[in-house]
Amino acid sequence: MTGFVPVAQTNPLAGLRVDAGTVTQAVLVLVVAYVLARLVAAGLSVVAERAGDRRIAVKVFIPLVRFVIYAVATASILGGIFQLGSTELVAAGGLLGAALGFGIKDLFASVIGGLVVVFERPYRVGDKVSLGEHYGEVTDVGLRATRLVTPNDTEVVVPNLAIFGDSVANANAGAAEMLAVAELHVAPTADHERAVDIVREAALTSPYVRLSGEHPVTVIVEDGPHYTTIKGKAYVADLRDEFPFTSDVTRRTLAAFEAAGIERPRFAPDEA
Amino acid sequence: MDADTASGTRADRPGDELWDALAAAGDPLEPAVDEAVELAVAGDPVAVVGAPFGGRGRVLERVADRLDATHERLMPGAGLPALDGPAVLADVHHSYQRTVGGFDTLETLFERCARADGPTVTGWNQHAWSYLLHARDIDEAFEAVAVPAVGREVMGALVRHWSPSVTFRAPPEEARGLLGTDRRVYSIPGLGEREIPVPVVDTDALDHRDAEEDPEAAVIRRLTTLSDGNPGVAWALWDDCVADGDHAAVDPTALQTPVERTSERARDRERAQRERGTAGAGTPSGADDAGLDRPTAFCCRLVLAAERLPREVVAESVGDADRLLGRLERRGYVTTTDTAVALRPAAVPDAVALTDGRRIP
Repeated sequence: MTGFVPVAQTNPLAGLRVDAGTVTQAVLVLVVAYVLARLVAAGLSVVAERAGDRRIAVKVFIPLVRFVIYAVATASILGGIFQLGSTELVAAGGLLGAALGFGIKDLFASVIGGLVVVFERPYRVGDKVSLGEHYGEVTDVGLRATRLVTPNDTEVVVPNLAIFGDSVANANAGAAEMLAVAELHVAPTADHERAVDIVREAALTSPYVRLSGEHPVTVIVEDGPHYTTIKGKAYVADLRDEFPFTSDVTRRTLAAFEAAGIERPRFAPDEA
Repeated sequence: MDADTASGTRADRPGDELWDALAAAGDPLEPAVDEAVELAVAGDPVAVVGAPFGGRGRVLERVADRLDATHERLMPGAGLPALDGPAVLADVHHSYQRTVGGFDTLETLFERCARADGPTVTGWNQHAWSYLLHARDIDEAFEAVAVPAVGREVMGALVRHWSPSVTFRAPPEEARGLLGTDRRVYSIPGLGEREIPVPVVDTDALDHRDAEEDPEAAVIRRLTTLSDGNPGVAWALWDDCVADGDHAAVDPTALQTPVERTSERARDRERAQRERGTAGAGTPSGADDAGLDRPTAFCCRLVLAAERLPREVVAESVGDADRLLGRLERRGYVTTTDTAVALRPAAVPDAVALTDGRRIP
């Protein structure tokens, strides 16, 4: 019987002080952390929207600040309120491991993904990204998921674990400007030189274009059996202007094509 | 069309008296005149590039006198004059439009300047020039000469010339605090719109702190900074400031652009509406430049780069031009008539800040 040890002494969580008071305090800390995180995020968003072309630089801080607030709240709950020692933490870790095995591994992977997004920064709030099959502006990077608003104004919630399995394409990588492409098609027999001039001038004169030595307007011509594709590539000063720019250039180019007698293809590109 | 005549704003623009006073105050335009003449005589087509109302016209007049050249101004939509013999052509930024096909006249100008058989000097708005640098490599076609800005010393001499009897005073005590509060309206979920005091850092207060010791220097410094050393803009700002009878004694805070004055009035009105309970009808704020969308800012850039334009030219470059011009006029950037729009000289700093801030070329 010398090896017998009372169960009460082997339970590592036996010293855990859980009563109505500690639970209330923990809930209170979480509520305060939640409200504080929302307030700081809202305040930074307001500041960012007033910061013009530095909008994205300010928004970068939102997930960072939120992460710090929740980390401090968690530490104060575990260490300050429940007063967990190393033994209790190991035991809690065991319980967590079991929980992961029982089905919250995706949630855990998303949280790890959230940490990777915050610290490695493959994208930031304000960037235009393709995450899996979704494309849009990142409006929020949470610990569990990233929110995108698509060009159709639909909010998509993508779990952060997507960054481990899918490729991430970032159109602006933290910069306010981004490359936008207006794609037009003309008949193979059309006056290509004139068409290229029209597309270039439409891009150069657009209200949305950003022009500098590092941000030139370029026009690319691609030949095809049924039509010729002319792509006008230019930077927009604000990534939110991507679609207004392409729409503006396309609209004015088509009008100029018609005025100049530039032949359009007989078949739509997807019919050819 | 002569946009000058149509706009009816010539009286609002700096006239000969300003440039004569500038010549008497050390003649800071002289180096630009010398350099333009030197380059033109050497056979290079010359571009005199200057800020709106900054003295470009006076430089060109003097260059024309020195070269004994014909001196013409290009009008929006008008054809190019022949460049026979020594020629000075002002306002050449009207040779292009921001439309598809809007560069044809400019391309013709390039060809004529390259073939001109005498010295050719052209005058360009600097904002149009910087756009054309990237859009058309215009620096390949002309040798550029910049119209210089003036320093505080010259600005002081101009102010004393304009208002010999004016007195200077330190700004009021409340204008010297670096940290102040501004009451702004924010939409709060669940509570609707609420006015919240927001701490703001007033960097101008740093300038005001030593104004007590030398108010005149502080006023001149503020005028030079606000106008970016542009004598025409400074003249308009000063004129606005002393035109009000309350400003016989001037302090630095009395120097305000038209847009700042309009914004202040709009904020006061909105505050009064909230107090009376008549706010909330959904009228957009008139006090906030952030409320101006990009097409409106682009419209402002068109006028900034041309100084004066017929409405029809603006309408060819941007949709819904009348509405956009109305918004700019209400905020103090431009003045309009039925046929034309003109940039307000005192609003040049605002127009530059609005359009550069949005990186509109």
